[in-house]
Amino acid sequence: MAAALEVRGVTKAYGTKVAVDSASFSVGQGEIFGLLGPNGAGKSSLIRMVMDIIRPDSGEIRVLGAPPGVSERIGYLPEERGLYQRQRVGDVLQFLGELKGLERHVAQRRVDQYLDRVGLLETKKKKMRELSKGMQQKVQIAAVLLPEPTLMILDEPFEGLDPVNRVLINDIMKEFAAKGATIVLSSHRMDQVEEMCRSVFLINKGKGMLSGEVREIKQRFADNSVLLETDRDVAAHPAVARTEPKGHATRVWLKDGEPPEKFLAGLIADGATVSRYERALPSMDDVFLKVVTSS
Amino acid sequence: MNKAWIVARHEFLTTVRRVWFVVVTLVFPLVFGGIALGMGKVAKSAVEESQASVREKPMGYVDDWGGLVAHQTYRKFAGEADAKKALLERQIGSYIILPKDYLASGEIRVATLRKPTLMTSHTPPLPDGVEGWLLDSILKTTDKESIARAKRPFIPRQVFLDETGNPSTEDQKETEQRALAAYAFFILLLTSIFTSSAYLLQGMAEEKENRVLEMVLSSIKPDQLMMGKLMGLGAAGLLQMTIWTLMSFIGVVYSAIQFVISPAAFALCFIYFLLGYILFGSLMLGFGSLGTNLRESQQMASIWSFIGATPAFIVIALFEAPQGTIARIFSYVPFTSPTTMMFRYVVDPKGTPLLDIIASMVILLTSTWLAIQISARLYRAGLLLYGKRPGPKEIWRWMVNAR
Repeated sequence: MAAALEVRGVTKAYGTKVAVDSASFSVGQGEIFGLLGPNGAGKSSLIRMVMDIIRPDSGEIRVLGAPPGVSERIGYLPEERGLYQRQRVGDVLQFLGELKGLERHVAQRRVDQYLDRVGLLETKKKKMRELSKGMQQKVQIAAVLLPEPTLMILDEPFEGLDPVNRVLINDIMKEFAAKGATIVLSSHRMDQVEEMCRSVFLINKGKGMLSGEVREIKQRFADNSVLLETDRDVAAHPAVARTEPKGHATRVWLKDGEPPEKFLAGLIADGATVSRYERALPSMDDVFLKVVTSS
Repeated sequence: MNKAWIVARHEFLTTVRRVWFVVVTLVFPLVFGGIALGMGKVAKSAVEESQASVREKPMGYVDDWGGLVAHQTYRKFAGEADAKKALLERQIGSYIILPKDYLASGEIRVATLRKPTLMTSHTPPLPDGVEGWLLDSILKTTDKESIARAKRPFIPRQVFLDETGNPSTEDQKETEQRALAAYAFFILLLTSIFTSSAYLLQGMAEEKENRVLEMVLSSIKPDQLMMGKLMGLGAAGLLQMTIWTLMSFIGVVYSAIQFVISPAAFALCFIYFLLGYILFGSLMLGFGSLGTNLRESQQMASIWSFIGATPAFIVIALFEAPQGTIARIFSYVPFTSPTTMMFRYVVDPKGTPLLDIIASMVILLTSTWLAIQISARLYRAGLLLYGKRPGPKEIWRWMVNAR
């Protein structure tokens, strides 16, 4: 299956500052993909090139099999966002829906449908400026959903949302992904995105640091540690280098060369009760720190 | 549907629903008409008020020349000291002194207690009959008929001949009506063009400040967006101009338009409005997009307002010589041609060469096309410019490069 988004060796500089340096990654169709990196890493520049708002100095981008350009199949939530403050919520969405190629009556129906989905149907007749910042952001997300796009590119979609609304937006994205939509999420908060994404591209100071499946990356960067819940104190165990409490469990770092399976077998053979035993994987924050430090 | 039309409809509806649009459209002609009518009266009454202290009291005079005939109202004084005393005691409002050599020099001294003002310092507030009284005194030995003729040496009865040598059918009244109508059209056109352009600029600055553009640009190309805005707000401007024109019929210039303005003049006015509006609107949008907020956008675009308003400084020249060199030059310069050409045609429809109209339109059309090209490039580059204003070098680079 052809990739929904392909970025090959893309470079963009503003004067002497290189914002994106030879970035390459690919997003499969129907995938939720994370574009991760700290503030100022080059994520938004990369997204703007994908959206054809700016052009790369070199490299190639293919979006849904075509060069970047205005497309009705792409939904875009930019980082620099806002809506017409003096206009009514319904009118703004109707306008944006029609700009996305929806027929007038279809746009009208979808405005109600997606305002309802984000829990803001009662605000349809209100002016944008009467809504809170979080509510305005949900209206913007509704605007992205209106054309029911094949590819959604969302730059920092959770910024400014409370936990309840973050869950709501998570659920909506999962719904769309389940229907086959490809979603590219950009965020500097890696913890917010890693749980949703199958694959990620990690960028720092314009350079691609890592790309691939989240699970595979985490395993690659995992150290020799396990999460253990048991009735024994294992701190003095000869195979253990150090321990650290982690909620109800204990994170146990084994000495180099000590296989986790052998450690578990030894505990059981010793008569210990083990209610949880799993390989401890690093968070994407940990991975990022490791990569940046090592480079 | 072409996306530019969607933008045009959105801009049109958003604009005409604004309270300010309705207020400006309906109230402006009344305010303007009121100001035009009232200004003359206000100025006249202000001058009268400043001269009241002089005119309310009789005038005194000192006749060192010795030739003045007696006057019923004016008070005679033997010398200046007496006249001055009477003035300071407010018995008289002013006095004049005719020196011994009055006949040779013609000079008289006029003394009042008022302060000099801009409007009246060069014209002493003498009573209306002084000139006639002095003439009577000078010519007291001459016969009455000659005195009357000296007071009014000629009464003109003008005859305007046309190219065939026959008296022209155009009368003075009609010329005055044309001038009035041309001036009204001039103001109407200038105001419509700049009001519409100001709406464009305001809308664009609001979009930038609200950070809405990036989302919109994922659905429409910048060129289409710009064209949509120009069309939508141009339609709003046309609507405004139509309402103002209709109101003018029942307003100040009712009689003038009724007799002398042809449908061709109206058509020309609308064509020049459209071309002028697109020219200035696109330039203001292109250059205005380089600002990071409304104030900066207005600064960047203000140069075009100044250029567009220059014909206002030569209105007198246009009245006097609608087919003169200055008028023709202004008709060929695209920034001044919409108002100047329309003015010339309304004042002097028969004398305005068709070639001038065609030439001005061709130049204006070409310039408008060029303005759209340059502005579209600036607009594309300027739309997503937040926080920093570009320098002249950067602006030039954007103007000549596609992206």
